[in-house]
Amino acid sequence: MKPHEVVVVSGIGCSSNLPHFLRSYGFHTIHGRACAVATGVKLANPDLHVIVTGGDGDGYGIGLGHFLHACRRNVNMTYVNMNNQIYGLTTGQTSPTSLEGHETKSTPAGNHEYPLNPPALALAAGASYVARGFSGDPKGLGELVKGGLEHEGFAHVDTFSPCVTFNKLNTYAWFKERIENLDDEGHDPTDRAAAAVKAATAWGDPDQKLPIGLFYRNERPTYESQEAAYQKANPAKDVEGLSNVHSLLKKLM
Amino acid sequence: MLDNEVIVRVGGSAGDGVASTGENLARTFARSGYQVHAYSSYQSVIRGGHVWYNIRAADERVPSHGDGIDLVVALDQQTAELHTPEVRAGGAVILDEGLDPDNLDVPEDVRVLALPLIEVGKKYMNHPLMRNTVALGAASQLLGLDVETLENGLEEQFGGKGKEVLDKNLSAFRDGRSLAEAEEPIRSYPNKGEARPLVLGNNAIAMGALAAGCRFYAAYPMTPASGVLHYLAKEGPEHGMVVKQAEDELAVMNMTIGAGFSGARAMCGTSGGGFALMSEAIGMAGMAEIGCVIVESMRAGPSTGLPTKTEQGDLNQMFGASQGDFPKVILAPKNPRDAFYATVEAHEIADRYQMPVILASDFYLSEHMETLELDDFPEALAIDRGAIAEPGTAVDGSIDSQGREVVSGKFARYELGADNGVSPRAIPGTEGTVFVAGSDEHDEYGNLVSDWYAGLPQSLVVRNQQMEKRMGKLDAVLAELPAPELEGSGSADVVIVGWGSTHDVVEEARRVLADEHGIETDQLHFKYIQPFHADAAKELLGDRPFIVVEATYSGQFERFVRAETGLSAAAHVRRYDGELFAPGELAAQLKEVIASL
Repeated sequence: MKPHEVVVVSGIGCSSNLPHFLRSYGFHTIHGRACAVATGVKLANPDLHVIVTGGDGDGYGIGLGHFLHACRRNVNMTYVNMNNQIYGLTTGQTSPTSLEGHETKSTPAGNHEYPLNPPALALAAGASYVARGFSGDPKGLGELVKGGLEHEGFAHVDTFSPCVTFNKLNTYAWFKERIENLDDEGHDPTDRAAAAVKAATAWGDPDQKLPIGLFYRNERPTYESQEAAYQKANPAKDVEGLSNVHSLLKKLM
Repeated sequence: MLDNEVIVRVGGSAGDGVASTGENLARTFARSGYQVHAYSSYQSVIRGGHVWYNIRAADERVPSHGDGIDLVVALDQQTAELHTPEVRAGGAVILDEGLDPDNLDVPEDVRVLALPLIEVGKKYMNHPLMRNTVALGAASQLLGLDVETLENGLEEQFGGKGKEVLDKNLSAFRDGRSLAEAEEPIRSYPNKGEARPLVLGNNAIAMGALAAGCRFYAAYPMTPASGVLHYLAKEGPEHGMVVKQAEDELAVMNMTIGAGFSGARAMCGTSGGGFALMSEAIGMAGMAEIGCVIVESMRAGPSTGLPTKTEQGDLNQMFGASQGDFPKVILAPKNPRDAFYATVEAHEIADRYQMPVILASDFYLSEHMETLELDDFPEALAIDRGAIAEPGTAVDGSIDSQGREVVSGKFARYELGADNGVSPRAIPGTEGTVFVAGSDEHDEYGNLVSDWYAGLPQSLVVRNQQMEKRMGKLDAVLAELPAPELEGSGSADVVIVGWGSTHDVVEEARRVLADEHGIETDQLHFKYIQPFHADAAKELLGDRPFIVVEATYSGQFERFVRAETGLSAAAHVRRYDGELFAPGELAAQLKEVIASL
């Protein structure tokens, strides 16, 4: 994977600045649309390696629909979401993954909505690689991202990524008390039912254990492998005018 | 009236096979060497209600669906009641004898033929649509149409359902002809050879895209744009085109821009409500300088409106698509042939000038069919992709085209200096031209000036430079677009002004005004809306009174012309009931308006 063969697509938010820090092609898009733009980038040139990035507000709020459809679509790309359970760039409002009771600028009396559970959602939507990492465990996180890049299909790596400026609840210390490693638990990532239980039960209650690692992986065919158009051309590379316009018109005679 | 014209209208409820029967007749005329205009009027229902299919055929080009009817094929009572009063002298109405023919308002010299359509159909198969085949037979007798041509059409329609079904339909068709054998035909339309393709507006747009090298199409189903999706989903893949139905129009527009970023010629299509969702992303394409084509096929609004009716009311929405000032182009073709070429043009502009291009269609243009001349179209199309950076341009230590040393391996994607504001683009996957595109304001390298550089003195300069670079591209586009032309003698007392799909019906109305009312008019029609030839418009209008014809309530185009030229229309003719302008009816309205000036 050479840098010039990689495209990093982000949305809007602090974590969406990532493309500018890397030496590959990048596209810093609009809020919530990274998965959709990335899908277009990849489908137009399936030879590119596409990485999608952004935060929890971007990807699980406004971008939730595109995220779920990306899971079911299984276009070969890797989505790393830096989940800090707060809206940081806009200085500290509640996010779709904020815990109940969290007091923020937009919920001074405490958030009273149940937090979304990204790995559970990804599993339910049919994602073929479901993982969660922690920025406090860079080695483990690196392995999960690498696994996602190597995986043929849509890989989702939700990442606990504490915002030291605006989230005083879910801090590094808070996470270190609760993180447990799926590997250490002897979890089998080919067992979808076990993955579902692990993903679904570990959220909501602020005192619950939070598993990280690879929840689930399978090798179902990618979207591109079933697209007939690629047998004829690469949409981005083979751009030329038609040489048989009349044959199209004759079909309508 | 056109040379040897005839107007046939098939009507019934949704589910009665109105469109199939109508299309069969339309194709028969087209294959028999006549020029045809076919329009399907339907409702936002799947079963029931009232739908009709209008076919106008003649020995010359048919610019509109005309006024009046010569033959009504009524598959239900409501059709007979609604459309019989419009039948012209010498015409006829065919309906099943079990309906109520005595309760119709029949004009003078019009025959009502109550025939055993259902009974005869049942002889062969107990399927309600057999009545249609019998009716087709009777209609073909009254129109002197070629039997072999029609039977070939039936074979195309039913061949896939097995020999038995086809044979039954052929028998029913022949019996239908016998039912009307004794009747004097309305006129005769034998097959004179010279078949022509019968092309739907949406199909013309789709073919134009394929011809222009577009290889990515995304859409969310929405009337009246879905036809483009259906055509391309079928024909696209064998030409290497990826066709994607996405989860919503937000995804559609963003995917299309992603595809454009990757280097594909990319297009998407929708109607007003879907376009509203695409609006934000269109701004991103403008800011990041990524070419893409958006087909907006307008329908009657506001909101969900009248999904199966026509209007030109989204002009303001197209102008207002997305926040801030950024370059975008709006083209409004006038008919299917023009739509093919406009789509090709849209892709050329999008690709070379790296900006979003909106192709404005409407329900009428998208959903009617016209016979076209094969020779009007090139067999092969050469395309020009514009400035694309060579590999290895931005290698550390090398000197770029502005004489600067390259550091950090960054390519100056938004480089200043070109007269037309266009900086060479880099195709992802190319070595040595790496850059990051963004929706934030940026410098020549794509570095954001919105974060830690915002507001600093140098950033103000950069911001202004980039804004002027982007907007300057529109001046270059305008210089390339052909100026509008005045149609008519050039010295008539009044000019009729319009845009988009009203051109042909206005032209026909002017002919009626001249031939039947002795009133001469000129016509100034606009296809290029943004950028706009304001100077040419001012000169061509001069100080003559002009009347703006458009299908909007608030006069969106009239207001735009005033804003761009400073000239106010003397009067206007507007309709916003969702139905089509008809030439005779429009001529009468224009006559009244002209008299009041």
